[in-house]
Amino acid sequence: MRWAATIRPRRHLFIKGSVRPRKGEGQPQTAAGEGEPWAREARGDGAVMQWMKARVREFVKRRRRWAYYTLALLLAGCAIATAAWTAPPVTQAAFVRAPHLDVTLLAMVTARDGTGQDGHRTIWLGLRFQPEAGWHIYWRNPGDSGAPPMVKWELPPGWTAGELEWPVPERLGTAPIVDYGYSNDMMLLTPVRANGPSTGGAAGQVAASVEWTVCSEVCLEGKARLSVSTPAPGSAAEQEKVLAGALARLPKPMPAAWRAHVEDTGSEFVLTVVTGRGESKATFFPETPEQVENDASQEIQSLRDGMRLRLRKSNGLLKPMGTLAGVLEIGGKGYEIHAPVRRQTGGRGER
Amino acid sequence: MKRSVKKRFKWTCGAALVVLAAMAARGDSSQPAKVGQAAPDFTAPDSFGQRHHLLDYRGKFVVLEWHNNGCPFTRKHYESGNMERLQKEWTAKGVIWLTVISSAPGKQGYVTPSQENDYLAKMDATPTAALLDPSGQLGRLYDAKTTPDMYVINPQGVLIYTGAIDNRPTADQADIQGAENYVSEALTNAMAGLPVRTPVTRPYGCSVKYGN
Repeated sequence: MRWAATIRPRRHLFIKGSVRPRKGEGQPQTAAGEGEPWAREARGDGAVMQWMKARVREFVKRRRRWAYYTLALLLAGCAIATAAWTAPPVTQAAFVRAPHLDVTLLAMVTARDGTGQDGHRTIWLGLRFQPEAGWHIYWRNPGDSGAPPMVKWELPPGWTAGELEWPVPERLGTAPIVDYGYSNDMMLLTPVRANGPSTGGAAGQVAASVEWTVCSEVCLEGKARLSVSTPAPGSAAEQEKVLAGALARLPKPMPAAWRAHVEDTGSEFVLTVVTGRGESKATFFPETPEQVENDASQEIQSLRDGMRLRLRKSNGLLKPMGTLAGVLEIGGKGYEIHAPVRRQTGGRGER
Repeated sequence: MKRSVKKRFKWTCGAALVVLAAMAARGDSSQPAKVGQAAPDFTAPDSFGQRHHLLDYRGKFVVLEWHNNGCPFTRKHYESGNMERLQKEWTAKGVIWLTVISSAPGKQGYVTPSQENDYLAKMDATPTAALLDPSGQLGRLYDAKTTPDMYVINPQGVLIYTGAIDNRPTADQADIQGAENYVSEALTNAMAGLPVRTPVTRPYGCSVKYGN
């Protein structure tokens, strides 16, 4: 991924480097101003001597100023060199190595998303998060603790970003605290409608201000501004491959032939999904917090044509719900589920 | 016959009610902390070695604040002075504010009594008390998930709010300004005899660092 592995130098390195010499620069001016000893000595001398001394004084003053200028330049040069050494200059993509987490912004224009009939074009922006081993970031519903990454896009005028699309998460941790997140390489995707021919296809500079929480046993906050220009260089085939990989990890809409419903027993939501075959492994990720107890184990019952999953209702759920929404991972794939909730009648429900 | 059945029914109902009332008064510890129900009772020591019994605070509002001084979300509210301000404001109005530390020894946020007292002095934090719960017993009783995780109990001992401190689930101090503070809202409404507008929210922050 040549087009993704470039780095934008951190701007504060430059600021620090250039501020320091400037501070020093101010001091000699007062020290070498109307220097008292010089002035007093010069009083008794002849005009030529006075002129010579004045020239010498000026020369020293100028030399000193030059010395400071040189020093300033040297320091600035060092700062640039250091920045360049740690971060080669970038043009097309952005990458940040933060503590315990690498973040990359990618722009993917693929043949498939070519210019539409209305002259607009869809490009995909990807934010790739690579947590260090043992660290994780969070899903949009982070579960019992943590916080999802937040993204603010800066797009060329007339461009519009769609919703963030999240890959299927994992259950992290053990009772009493279970979170939903990602402990491996993952990519958030956003489709962007770019202005068409007037701007020469999908050419423009795109930036993302990203804030995240990365945790292992403890949590750290991080933020970065990444930018990338589109169309991204590199082969379309390569971009297509990366995009296809990321898209494959997004949950799909539930197949039309499937059926899902929820029975509210008072203390549990019993989610039944008919898939057409016996299922023995499934995990449900609730869309909305405070509906399902995150730390409760999800007991599965395999059915001839699907499965039944018992989800303990959250203590925080005060009102009855019409629909239980979330992502169901089944057979290694994720599906968006919107299951109508029925109150169990004649049961020993709470009320 | 009919009368005796009725009588027996009355007795059974009466007995059940008494048991229920007793359970509610005790805040039966087998029941989870749930809004609208009796807050589970507890006794826990504070950083000065004094023991606090929830039942002793009947007649007053009680706030429980789960705390971890190393958690960025907790630090957001302490280093900005927001939490200290809330503690001062509400304890001045007669509220019992109990900061609870459930970090296990060796985990982030675990403090000895003297470390906690130093911290309180340094931050100029004035909760009614800072309860030390290294076993996590109190945390698990309330099913505290995060720091900060906030609970508000009314003078009748009923839990009226659980969840986040405010509606900005970030660790950024800049988000405090203009945030809707759920704890203040619950206390303000309840003191005015009004229902709490948002009785449950998802608590945000770091996980409570329970022992294994």
